[in-house]
Amino acid sequence: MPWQAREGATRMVEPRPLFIPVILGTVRQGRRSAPVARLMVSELSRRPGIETDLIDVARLPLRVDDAGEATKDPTFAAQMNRADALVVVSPEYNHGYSGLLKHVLDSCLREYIHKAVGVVGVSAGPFGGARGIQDLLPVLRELGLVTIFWDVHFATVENVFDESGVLREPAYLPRIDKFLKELVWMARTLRHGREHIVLE
Amino acid sequence: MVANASPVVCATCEREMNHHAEKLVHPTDSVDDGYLDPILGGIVEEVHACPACGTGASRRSTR
Ligand SMILES: Cc1cc2nc3c(=O)[nH]c(=O)nc-3n(C[C@H](O)[C@H](O)[C@H](O)COP(=O)(O)O)c2cc1C
Ligand SMILES: [Zn+2]
Repeated sequence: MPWQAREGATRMVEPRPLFIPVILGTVRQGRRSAPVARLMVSELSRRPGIETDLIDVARLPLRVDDAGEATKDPTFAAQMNRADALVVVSPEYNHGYSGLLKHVLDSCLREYIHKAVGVVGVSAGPFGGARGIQDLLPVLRELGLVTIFWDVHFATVENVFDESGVLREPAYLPRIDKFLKELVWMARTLRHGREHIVLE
Repeated sequence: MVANASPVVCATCEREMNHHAEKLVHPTDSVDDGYLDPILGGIVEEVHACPACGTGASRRSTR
């Protein structure tokens, strides 16, 4: 039975916790992506062996009169250097991703290489940010990140959380669980690769 | 060109880091010109990680 877990399959014990921050990818006043990002932080925090943090692009002191690594913020760069994986919360703006999210991501490069990333789309419309996610994937790839095959889509997000930001629809939890399981597996695998597998 | 023969050493643990990636990056100013690889069409950045503490480091490849 090659597809079943074999006896002897190992559960790796990590010497250090994985660090998986969540990037809240918009600065919009009244942004509904904020409760989504907080939910992702909360779901990550409940998992053993994982440390997380909310990185709010609105709070990063990034200049907007330059672009790329010239704008690098040392704190953000240190968080990306420490990260094993990223969760990017990406609202859909005019069928794309937010410009400031791209500006922030562009401020680093080497810090991302061979690290996992998963994208959580958010939209007012019915597609859960899927169009913005599709456009973001090639950008993440060029940054050296490794994208996972699960996304989470928060469609008609105004109905998903109550006024205080509490999740109203429990159906999201099993989707987030699948997404995070895959992200953590990829984060572990890539950490092992970065630290032990030599580029031939 | 001279090969980057010397390993990168972790600033924290002093352990030899693992060279796990080479990424093509795009030049933005003239100081980068000396590293441009005309065949690959960019600059090759070597990426290393420490097997003890996980810290990452990188340097321009001269290979
Ligand atoms: C400039 C702009 C463009 C938008 N374009 C779309 C869109 O193409 N599709 C969609 O479903 N919602 C669109 N929206 C609505 C957002 O998806 C909505 O605000 C949602 O709550 C997620 O973004 P938020 O975190 O800014 O609230 C747009 C919002 C803005 C500000
Ligand atoms: Zn080290």
